[in-house]
Amino acid sequence: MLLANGRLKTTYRQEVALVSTRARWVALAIGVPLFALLPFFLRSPQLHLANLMLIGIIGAVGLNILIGLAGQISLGHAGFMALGAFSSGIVIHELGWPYLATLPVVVLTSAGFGLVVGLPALRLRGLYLALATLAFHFIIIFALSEYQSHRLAAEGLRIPPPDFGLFQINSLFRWYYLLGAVAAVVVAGGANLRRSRTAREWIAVRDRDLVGRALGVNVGWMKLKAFVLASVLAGLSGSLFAAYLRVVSVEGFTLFVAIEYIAIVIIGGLGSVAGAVLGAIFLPLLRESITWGFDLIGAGARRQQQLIPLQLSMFGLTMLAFLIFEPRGLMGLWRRVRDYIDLWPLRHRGGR
Amino acid sequence: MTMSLAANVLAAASVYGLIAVGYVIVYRATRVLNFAHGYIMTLSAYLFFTLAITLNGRVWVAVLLAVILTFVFGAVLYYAVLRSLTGRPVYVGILATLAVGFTVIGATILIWSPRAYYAYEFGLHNPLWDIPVAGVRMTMMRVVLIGAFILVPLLLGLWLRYARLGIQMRATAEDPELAALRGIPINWVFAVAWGTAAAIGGLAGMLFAANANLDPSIHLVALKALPAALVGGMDSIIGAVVGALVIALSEALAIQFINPLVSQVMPFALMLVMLMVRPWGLFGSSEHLERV
Repeated sequence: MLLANGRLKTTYRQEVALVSTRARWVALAIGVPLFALLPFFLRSPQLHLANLMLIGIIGAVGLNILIGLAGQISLGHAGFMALGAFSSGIVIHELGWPYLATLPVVVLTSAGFGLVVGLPALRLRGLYLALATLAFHFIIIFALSEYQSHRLAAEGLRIPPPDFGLFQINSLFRWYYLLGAVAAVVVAGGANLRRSRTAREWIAVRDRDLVGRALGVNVGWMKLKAFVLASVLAGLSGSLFAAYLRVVSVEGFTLFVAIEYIAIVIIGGLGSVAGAVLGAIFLPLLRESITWGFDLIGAGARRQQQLIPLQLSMFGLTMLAFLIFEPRGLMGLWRRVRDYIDLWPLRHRGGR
Repeated sequence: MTMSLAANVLAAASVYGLIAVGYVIVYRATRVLNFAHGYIMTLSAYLFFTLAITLNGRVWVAVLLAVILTFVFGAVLYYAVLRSLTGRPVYVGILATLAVGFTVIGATILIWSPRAYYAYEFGLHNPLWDIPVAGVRMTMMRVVLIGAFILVPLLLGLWLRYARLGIQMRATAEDPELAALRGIPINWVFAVAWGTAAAIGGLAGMLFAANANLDPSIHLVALKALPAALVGGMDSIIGAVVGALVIALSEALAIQFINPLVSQVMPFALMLVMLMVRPWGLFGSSEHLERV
């Protein structure tokens, strides 16, 4: 290790280490307790926002594997989330199971549907795959809304809070820890997966599937694997989302949600777990910032009508700015800042 | 009974077809599926309504001005956004056009408010006409829509076939590099393609809004025109027309024989089937489609 920043890796062990530098150990040592103690410092609106971010992280890590690593574009993310939510809802409604017992069912059905929706990916790619997943989105949502209108109340199915026997998850505070634990497992699992052979095979499929094939990667199988994993994580986050809001309904799973998740992944940084986390934190903050801005300038009655169009425009412009100026997303921005500091004052135009 | 069914199918196909032609023009030229199409169409319809009100109901002048403005908007959009994104992965095109769409629809709602506008506000009435064929009754705007659906693809086809710019456009679609080498200003050609697509979509939006009413949700029609473009073939104008007829027919049959709700997903189910068996569509060229 010649460079002071310690990012020059000389052994394979360093290359695949989960926490590769001392700086990252320090960041982890500060970050984990902060993450664990956060709810003590937040009031309920912020805590609610934090919980939504945690749900977003779970889904975004999955979608990032599908788009960022395996390079398969899916507009069906909201459909998968809805499937997860309804797997829970249907089992609760028809069989009377408690919420937590439905989670294995969610995983199984999501995996099954991931396999089905992944099938077109064996024949199609790029735009045509995106259109196929778009079609799946509308078909899934249609089927679920038919179920909702025939078997459930118009506003959906109310479900009881998760019950662990000793205690119920019935407050924002407790939800934070449940969602935080799931998100932490998903993030750690995602980061672990990122350094595996599987991830490298996905990257081969993404960058040049023909070369991957020549190197012995089973392209079709890897695509299905990515779809199944993304679908399971989406289903899980959809189910948790429904349980968190205590209602199962198709209302919350529009095409816009699917697009928002893609935006999270791209604004965060394609192909990196940290990027998915950053994006899932950044986008809700962006949305809320308009409300906070309104509060700041004290806009009163006109506010409600202008809030949603402003959010839409702001969302669009932000996405456009990232696509044009920093396609690697927030992670790319961070790398630029880091390299600038590392190389100062001997910055040169070559290299990255 | 069958005549009125046919009339309904034709009217629905007119809307889908005019919009799908816009998707096709843009896709042929720049290989981008323009997800902003429906939102630009909405903006265009608002422009038309505002112009018609300020011009005291001189509808045809308003239509002409709105079409020209929409053309300029589309061309500027290409130069401002899409040109800098050429050569980037497919998802960039999808997301960039979606982002443009959200920006446009947000701005539209901010400017005009989400309330519904009606054509009679500027004195355009929409009477029911008796059509001399088999006693079908149809609103005037529907007749105009069907007329536009017949006329616009026809004129477009003639223009592409015989006009200088049209020939340049076909050449560029076939091989951009070769076209550039032959001195065709390909960026201008692309911008014209984007402008033309926006203008035709805008016309569809104006007529559609004048027939029913205008509110921000009319962009949803463009989503259903997507299957029409794909079923016909993403790079064929005849395909867009035929695809629109197929989609409209499938919807009408679903309403008649299954139930009205199924008709909502019928276009997408059809699109999915088409993607599985013949992804390049009925009239599209298959060589452009990358297969795994």
